[in-house]
Amino acid sequence: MAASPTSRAAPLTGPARRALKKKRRFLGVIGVLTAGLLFELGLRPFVADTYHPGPFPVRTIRNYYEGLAVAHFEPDGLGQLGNRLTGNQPVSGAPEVLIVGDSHVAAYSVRDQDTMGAVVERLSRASDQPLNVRQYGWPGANVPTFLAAAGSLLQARHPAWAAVVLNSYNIGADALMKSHDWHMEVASDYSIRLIHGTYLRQTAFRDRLVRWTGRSALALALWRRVGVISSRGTPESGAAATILEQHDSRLAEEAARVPRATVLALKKAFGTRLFIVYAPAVHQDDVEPLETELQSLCAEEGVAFLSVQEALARDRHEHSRLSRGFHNTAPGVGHFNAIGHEIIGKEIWRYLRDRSSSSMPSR
Amino acid sequence: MTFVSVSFVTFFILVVLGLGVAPSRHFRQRLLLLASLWFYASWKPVYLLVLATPILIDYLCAIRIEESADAMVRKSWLAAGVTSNLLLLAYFKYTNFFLANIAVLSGAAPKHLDIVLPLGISFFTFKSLSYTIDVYRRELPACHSLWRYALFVCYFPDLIAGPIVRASVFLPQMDRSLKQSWRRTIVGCHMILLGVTKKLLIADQMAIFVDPVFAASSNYSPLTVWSAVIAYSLQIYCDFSGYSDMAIGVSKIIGIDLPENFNMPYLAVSPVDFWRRWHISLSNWLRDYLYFSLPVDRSKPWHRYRNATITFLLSGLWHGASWTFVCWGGLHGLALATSHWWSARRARRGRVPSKSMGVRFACWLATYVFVCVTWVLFRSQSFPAALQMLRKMAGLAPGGIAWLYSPLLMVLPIVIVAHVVGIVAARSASPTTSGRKAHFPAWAGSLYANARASFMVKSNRLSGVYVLMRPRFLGAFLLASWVLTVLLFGATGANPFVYFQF
Repeated sequence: MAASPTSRAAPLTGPARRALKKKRRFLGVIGVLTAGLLFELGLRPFVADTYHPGPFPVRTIRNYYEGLAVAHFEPDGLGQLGNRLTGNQPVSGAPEVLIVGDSHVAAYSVRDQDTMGAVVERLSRASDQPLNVRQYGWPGANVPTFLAAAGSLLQARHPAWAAVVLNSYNIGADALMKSHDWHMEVASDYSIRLIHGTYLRQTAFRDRLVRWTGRSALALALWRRVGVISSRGTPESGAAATILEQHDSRLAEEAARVPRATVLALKKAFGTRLFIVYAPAVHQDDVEPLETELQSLCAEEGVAFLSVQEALARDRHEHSRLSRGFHNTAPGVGHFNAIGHEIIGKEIWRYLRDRSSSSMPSR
Repeated sequence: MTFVSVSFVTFFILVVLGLGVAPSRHFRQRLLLLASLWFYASWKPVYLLVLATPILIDYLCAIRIEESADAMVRKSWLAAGVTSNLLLLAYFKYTNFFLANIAVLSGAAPKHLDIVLPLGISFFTFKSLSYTIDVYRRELPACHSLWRYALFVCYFPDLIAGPIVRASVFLPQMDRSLKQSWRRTIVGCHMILLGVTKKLLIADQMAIFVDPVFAASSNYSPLTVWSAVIAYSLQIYCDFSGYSDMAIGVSKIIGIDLPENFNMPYLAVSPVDFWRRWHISLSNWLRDYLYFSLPVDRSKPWHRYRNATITFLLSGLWHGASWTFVCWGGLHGLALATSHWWSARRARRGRVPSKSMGVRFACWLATYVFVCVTWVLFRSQSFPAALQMLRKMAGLAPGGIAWLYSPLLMVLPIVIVAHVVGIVAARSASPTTSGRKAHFPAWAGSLYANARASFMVKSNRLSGVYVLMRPRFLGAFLLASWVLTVLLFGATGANPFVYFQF
């Protein structure tokens, strides 16, 4: 047992006591600083480049909320972080496939070589019909963001096919909410108006704060944790939109027009290259009503539609595997894991092979 | 308003400030009572009436019991007090359970009344009951101040989920000044930090994995189900003992000492040992007011075993109005009875308990596995769900999703090492082995002291707390690391405390 203050042999005089107190305080401060330093060093490897100033040839995101993965992005000025790399070398002259979507496409939680794009590339090359895949994901974003980016993406990449990966959040009331960079208004004739939002407007102060915080891994981690803790109990944006929809009849009416407006607008933006991939937001064995609606709308408008719901459910039953969730999350909850990406990638490749084999160059 | 919320922190700071400026002890007591009523009303104001019922009835009954010399009159007032408490508990907690069972037996359509279970009813009725019984047994004088008695029943730190404090422990402390001291505040803050750590870093992290597996165990592999059960054993321990730590810490800052509720229960080497370490305040309550009240013929040993089983059956029912809880309690009762019978049999044959490490390890393992298996009944929503889970654990239903939850693998070694440190620390300071202390350097002694404080070794807890809180290098380093770990790695989901439902 450490000596307690009461075990001291003789009482100290005034100056000696003050000196001892000063020394103890000094040691205490050193102790706190040492702990901070150790945490700073320990957290350094997990800091994303997003918060660091300066250009990068490859942007790295280290995720530790869902598993532990390192994601690399090519900052080509398109999308939020740029093109999500696949870990495969591009094949010169091979046609390009564009995959656009939300956080499921950004896929921070899986390695580059496990992304759906990487799977498509590997399968296509194994079949001697090589493809280069470009993946652009916007975490938390919806259809208005994909539409706003469509022009620049097509102009820069000239893809042969453009897959837009959707789920129920992307084409519900959430697309009308002002909580994202882009949202939209849907008129009664299903025409849409894209509106640039004010979400997380960069002020000089905030910018300085983020840059300053970004210099310390510990400060950054604490900053983010405070954000997570303060948002405790508030529903996620998709759920919030659903709640609002239940209380706002006008919003509910407008939200009901979103699926058709989405199909029309995506068709207009991406043209004949477009095919919509529907990946349900949560696992379920039955097809969501929204998926059925979207499928019939696509059929009406002549837009190619691919559902991966059945493949995901089949894999779960046949192989007892979960396509979502990571080793540090609840089983089956969260973003698609490597298994989910593999299934979606295989389905996209199967679709491309079956539907467009005639137009694919063979080596 | 739970302990781990901004609203509670605000409330508590205001209470502490109020106690600090209150001019006298009586003012402080009244302020505490008002704060306790506010705390309870923040959940459902109308249920203050439910809280007031046992306060008024038991207050009057106890005074009548004390005033009367006639045994019959005393017994009648005792019966009135006990019956009113049990009726209150039965109505709010068991009405729907009884109706459902009557419907099953009679074949009629089940009826369900829309009754909201008042928070902490099982705890405050037990507190009130113990007071009336103590006065009847002449172990405690009746309290003649309604303010004081009301404060005893609805004292907010232990109101919702214990520890079940006795009037004989609480009421004498009312004579204290209730002035905060720096030392008590330090100890209290340490206890709160310890409780928050258990809740956020372990219990809530484990809940993320436990909930989905218990909800659909048939989907998962036997190994995954086993790991979920182990995770649940950690969850419920850290959730409940974390709450108790916070309650003790909050109360310490106020100036009132609450009894310890846990003492490293998973180190138990028999069911009897387990119940000496788990939810100590409830175990003691059941022993003193139920087990000892049951009829017994000392010439017939089986009467003791029967009474132990009955006590635990009722303990199961206290935990929840469901047959799974009754079965859980029954199994523990049987285990206790068997354990007592075995010990008595060995004693009759002149055998002393084995000190061999191998035997002790086997006893520990058997006890832990038994406790885990019974947790399945405790946690499952129904018998079929529990049976499905037990089938998986027994390997009778192979196959299913294999899921390795990494936080469990991280937490488990920490808990094991901490318990080992706790044991060593406890031994290092025990009178029989005090010579060993000299072999530990000062820093190791400090570490042991901290570990002892953290892992529920009751003796010398205070010194551990004091060492940790001293502004010296090691203390400051450990404290800063501890706080940062909780901030960075604690779960952020808002999970209610498990024992709130009881």
